[in-house]
Amino acid sequence: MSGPASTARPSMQERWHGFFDNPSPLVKQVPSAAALLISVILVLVVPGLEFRPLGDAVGGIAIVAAATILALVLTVRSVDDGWPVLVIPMLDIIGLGLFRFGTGGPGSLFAGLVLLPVIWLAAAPGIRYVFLVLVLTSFSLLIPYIAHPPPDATEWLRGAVSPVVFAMAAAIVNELSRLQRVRTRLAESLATDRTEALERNIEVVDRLQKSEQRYRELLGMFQSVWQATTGQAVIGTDTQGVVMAWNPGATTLLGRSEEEAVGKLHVDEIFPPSARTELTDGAASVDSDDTVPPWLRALFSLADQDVAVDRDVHMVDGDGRPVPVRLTVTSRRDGDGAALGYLFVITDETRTAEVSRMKDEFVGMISHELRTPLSSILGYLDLLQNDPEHPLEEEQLQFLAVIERNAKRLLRLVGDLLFTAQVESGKFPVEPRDVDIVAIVAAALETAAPAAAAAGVELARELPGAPVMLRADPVRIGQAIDNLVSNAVKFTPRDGRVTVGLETCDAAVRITVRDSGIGIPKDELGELFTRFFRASTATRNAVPGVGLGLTITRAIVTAHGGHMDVTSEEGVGTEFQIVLPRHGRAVVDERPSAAARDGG
Amino acid sequence: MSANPLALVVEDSDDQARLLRHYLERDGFDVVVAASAEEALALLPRVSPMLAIVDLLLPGMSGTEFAARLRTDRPGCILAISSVLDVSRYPTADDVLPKPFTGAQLHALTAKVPR
Repeated sequence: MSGPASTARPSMQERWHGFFDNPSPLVKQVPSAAALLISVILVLVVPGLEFRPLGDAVGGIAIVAAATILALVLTVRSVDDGWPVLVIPMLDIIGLGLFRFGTGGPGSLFAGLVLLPVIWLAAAPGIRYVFLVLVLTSFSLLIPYIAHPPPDATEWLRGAVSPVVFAMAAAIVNELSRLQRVRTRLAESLATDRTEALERNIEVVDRLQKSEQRYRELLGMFQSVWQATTGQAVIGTDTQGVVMAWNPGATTLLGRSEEEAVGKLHVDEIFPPSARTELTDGAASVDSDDTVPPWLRALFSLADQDVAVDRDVHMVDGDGRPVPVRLTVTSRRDGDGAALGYLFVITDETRTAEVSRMKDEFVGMISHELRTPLSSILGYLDLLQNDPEHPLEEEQLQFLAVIERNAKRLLRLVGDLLFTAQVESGKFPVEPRDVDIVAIVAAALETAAPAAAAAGVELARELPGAPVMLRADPVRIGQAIDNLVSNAVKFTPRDGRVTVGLETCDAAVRITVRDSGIGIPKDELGELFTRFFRASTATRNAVPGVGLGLTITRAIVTAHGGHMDVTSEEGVGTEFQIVLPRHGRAVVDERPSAAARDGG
Repeated sequence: MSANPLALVVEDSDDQARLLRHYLERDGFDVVVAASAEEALALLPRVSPMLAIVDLLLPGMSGTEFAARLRTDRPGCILAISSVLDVSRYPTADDVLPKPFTGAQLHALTAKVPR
């Protein structure tokens, strides 16, 4: 946009400069040459005027003519400045001085013509040209007197005074033109400044227009997103928790309009007392001067530390019905990172909760319907096997054992499915108490011993002699270790070895189950804990299973605040590790603040 | 009048009820079976069980509710819960008999009943 304007302005400037500052030498020469031409014509035409002495007049005309030719040459060659140009008025002064002498000397009608080149020369920048004028005019006016001495002293005086007068005129012209030049420069720089300022303004306006357009686009986008967010309540507050923004989703969920909320409502008021209790983390700094309630202040400070605040809580909708929601709180900052307030995003989880409840009911019902007949099968099997009144033959007992083994496998599968569903809905019971983890591991080894013996796998133990106490649910942790050990036995070929170890440190207990089995391909390790995932080595070797064991194992370990690691090499073996915190939960959590928080 | 102690089985599954009856009778109990909590409540004024084995998932009134009533009405009766549900969901009782149970487990339970 600035392109054409900026190229047009300099060309105008150049013409302006050219007209005032740099007339061509020929243009400057025109007055002297024309005046001389008119003088010559007058002398020739008007009676009483004559060239006397003729030689000086002709010489003068010749010099001026030479100066005019020089002016023409310089003009053609576009030389507008410098000493060659100033040679022209110098020649003119000498030439017109001679012409004056050749038309009557000091009394000549054309004495004043010298003034024209004098003004030209005097207008050149610098006081030195005034002295040059003095020297040149003295030379051109006095030289003829040497050849033709004047008759009286008055003439001498006239000859001497004229150069001084010319010099004074030159001085005045020099000063005036200097002032003019100063003014011109000033005007020019002002014009340049103004032009630049104008250009800058245009640029700024241009930028502003662009950013305004971008701003409008973003605003439009933001507003449409904001208006379209009806599934979630998005509430912006200031640093004190006063509502600053309220989206349509908030109106839908909480039953208050934007007008009722913005600037009038404190975010504390949208939470029913039960939700405040749910959200209270316990330890909150209590400052009686604080306008923000402690439970909210605790959430704010978490958000300030960029800790993800993501809670499941029960709210009350506009009609007073309880709504299960997921709440996230994040801090709102400006471009420099200064706190502006907080953003509350509340997602209605009614449907999710409903679906989850239906799934739980379904899984519960299915597992009940499967367990009831299995219970009867196993109960009557037990009765047949252990009825002293009707003892069975050896072969019959063997057949019953096959039925029993398969019925138990089905029962385990049902249990695993139910447990997985409980894990997914986040509610499986863990009842921690002080237990000796060494005893639990030893019990798992006992359980696995018959299967290991049958498979020809050696079970090795690397356990400490003394009990190691920690808080855990012995049934669940036992189940987790059972899973790992039975897996290890299952995936280890005959004559292989399974080693179960336990190490302790101050904060944690590490249980290791290492086998010399078929191993797991590296690219499958990440999926290992996914429900129903089975390693390709497992399916290829036709090892039975459905892929729930590790999911369950990890869920149990996670519920105890621990974590699991696995390393494996195909064809060499696999090592699973369970790391459990010794003192309460989350000690293994690597955030330093977590350890401090839970330690107290 | 029999000298045998009385066992009350509240169980809607015939198969399970029959299995329990078999084991209990083998251990020297007289057995009365109710297929629902309501039926058991109707029986209660006329019988004095020493042992009650109660299923939780019953038609009508739940086993949990019945167990609570029994504990209040007959504090002397040993109450055992037998269900396919997870033991963590059992109501307070004197003993648990998670299904599938074995004859040995039931025998251990009957041994606790004073004769």
